[in-house]
Amino acid sequence: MTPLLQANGLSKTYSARFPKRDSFDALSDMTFDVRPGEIFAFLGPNGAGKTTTINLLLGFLNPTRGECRLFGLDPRERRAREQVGFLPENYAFYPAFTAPTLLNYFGRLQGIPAPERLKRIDELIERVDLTEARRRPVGKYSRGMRQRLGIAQALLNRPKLLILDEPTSGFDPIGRYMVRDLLSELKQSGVSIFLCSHILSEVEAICDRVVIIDRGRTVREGTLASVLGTGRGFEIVFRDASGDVSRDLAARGTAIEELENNRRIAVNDEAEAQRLLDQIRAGGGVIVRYQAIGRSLEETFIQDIAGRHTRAQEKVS
Amino acid sequence: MVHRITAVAWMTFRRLLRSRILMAGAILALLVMGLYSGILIAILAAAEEGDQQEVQALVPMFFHLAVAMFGTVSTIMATIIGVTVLRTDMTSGTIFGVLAKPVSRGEYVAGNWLGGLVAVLILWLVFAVVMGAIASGIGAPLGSLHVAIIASRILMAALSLSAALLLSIRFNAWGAAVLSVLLVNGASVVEQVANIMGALKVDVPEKLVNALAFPFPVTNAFDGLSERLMQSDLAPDSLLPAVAHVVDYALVLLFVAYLFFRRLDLNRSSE
Repeated sequence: MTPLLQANGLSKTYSARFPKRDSFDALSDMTFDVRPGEIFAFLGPNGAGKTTTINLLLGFLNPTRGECRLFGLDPRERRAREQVGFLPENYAFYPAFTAPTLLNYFGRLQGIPAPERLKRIDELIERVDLTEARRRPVGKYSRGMRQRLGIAQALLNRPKLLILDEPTSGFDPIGRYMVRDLLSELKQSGVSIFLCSHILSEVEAICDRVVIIDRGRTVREGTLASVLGTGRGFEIVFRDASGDVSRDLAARGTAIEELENNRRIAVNDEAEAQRLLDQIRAGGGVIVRYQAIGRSLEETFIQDIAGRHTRAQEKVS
Repeated sequence: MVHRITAVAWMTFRRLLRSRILMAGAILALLVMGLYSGILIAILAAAEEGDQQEVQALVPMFFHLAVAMFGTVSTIMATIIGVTVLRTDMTSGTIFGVLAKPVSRGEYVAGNWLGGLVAVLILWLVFAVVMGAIASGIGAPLGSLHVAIIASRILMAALSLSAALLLSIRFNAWGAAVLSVLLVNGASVVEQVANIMGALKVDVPEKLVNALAFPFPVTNAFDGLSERLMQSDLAPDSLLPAVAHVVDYALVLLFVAYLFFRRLDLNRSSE
């Protein structure tokens, strides 16, 4: 499957030449891709380089090294953005205009024919629940209402790829539910989503793949299962009818938890888990379940980022 | 391409209307015109007394003063519009919503310029209608010469707009405004500085003055165009080179603005 969005060795260095030559690596060697139909979560703490990455992906910034491709094209090319919908964290609209006027403007820029455009605008205004506020200037909207309008403009051209930066920012719980519902609906209809969010429980509920970045570098990446799977260790659930295996293991200091019909062992190390599996099988035990014990995305994120920061501080001291 | 440029231009024009820049310009123009109302009163008085000779002498003076005054106002307006439209989009962040759409940066710059130009044209249209009404009222309707003079002033405003738009990409509004006035009127500024130095008994070689004025040839071109029009010279072979010079300059500035803007890093910061 050809990726809709690709970043290959993407780097951005900001340099100040005056009054002194100084430079700052906002992004270093970032490589990832977004495939058709998936929700791709792009996570990182504040200042990690998420916004810089999005700016590069949409052609607002020029990369210092590496390249990115949108639908196989340089994002600075006009055609590359034809099938993209973008929602920034705090969308800046012209405050004196109403929602239909602004959506009409964006629709014209996207070349949507007038009858279809007007119909789509009505649909979207209803979808994001702005019908009652449609005659009010956007400058008088609350933050949540502006965010709803931002979502509407991002969906105007029925995009194949959505780039969303904190889509639930400024929303109350009902608004958040609306966004989550909408994202699931879009995913089902085959839209790919590049999602930046700090609300990791929501991300975990809907995303397929994850990249965690910190200080401009990739810390962890992979499918959601692989990212969450390598955390607390491994769990072995087995059945031991005679009880011989359990006695033998307990004699060697392995902690065994008694379940209703089975027994459970949890270990941190994978090699240790493999050794125990062999031992259980050799002793006549039956393996009911063997799996990595997952963490929540939030735990993974905090452990990764906090770990890096602690190591960096240790180096400095 | 055309529909995207016109969409940006239309929105730029509507933004200018809403921002009341045009309204402020019109009020400023009316206030300055009030300063010249003495001449109008003199014309009306002469007409009432049946002194046609006096009327014939005063009418051109009134027209030229009004055009000169309104020309200055429209150039100031064009400069303000030029330094405002793109810079405001960049600082407020509205530019990101637009450039995330399939719009090239060239189309965006062209649309902003065109929207600003439409605003200036509307100011001139209002002025021309008012002047036409006054001129008809005092029995001296506007002719092709007057139209040509107004057109030359509109060209000058378009030039100021291009310069201001270009400079607003790199400088803040005040800096861009001052520099664009210098860029458009550079030759005159150099000449005036040389005159002041001369008055202070400091001899500035003519070659140096010419060299310093060289990057700003447009003032001379525009002065030449105005001079011909004041002499009622409407011959195309004498007007066209001067017109072409001003138009060339405006388009070159616009193109340089595009080149600057094309690869400019637009940094959308996280909130």
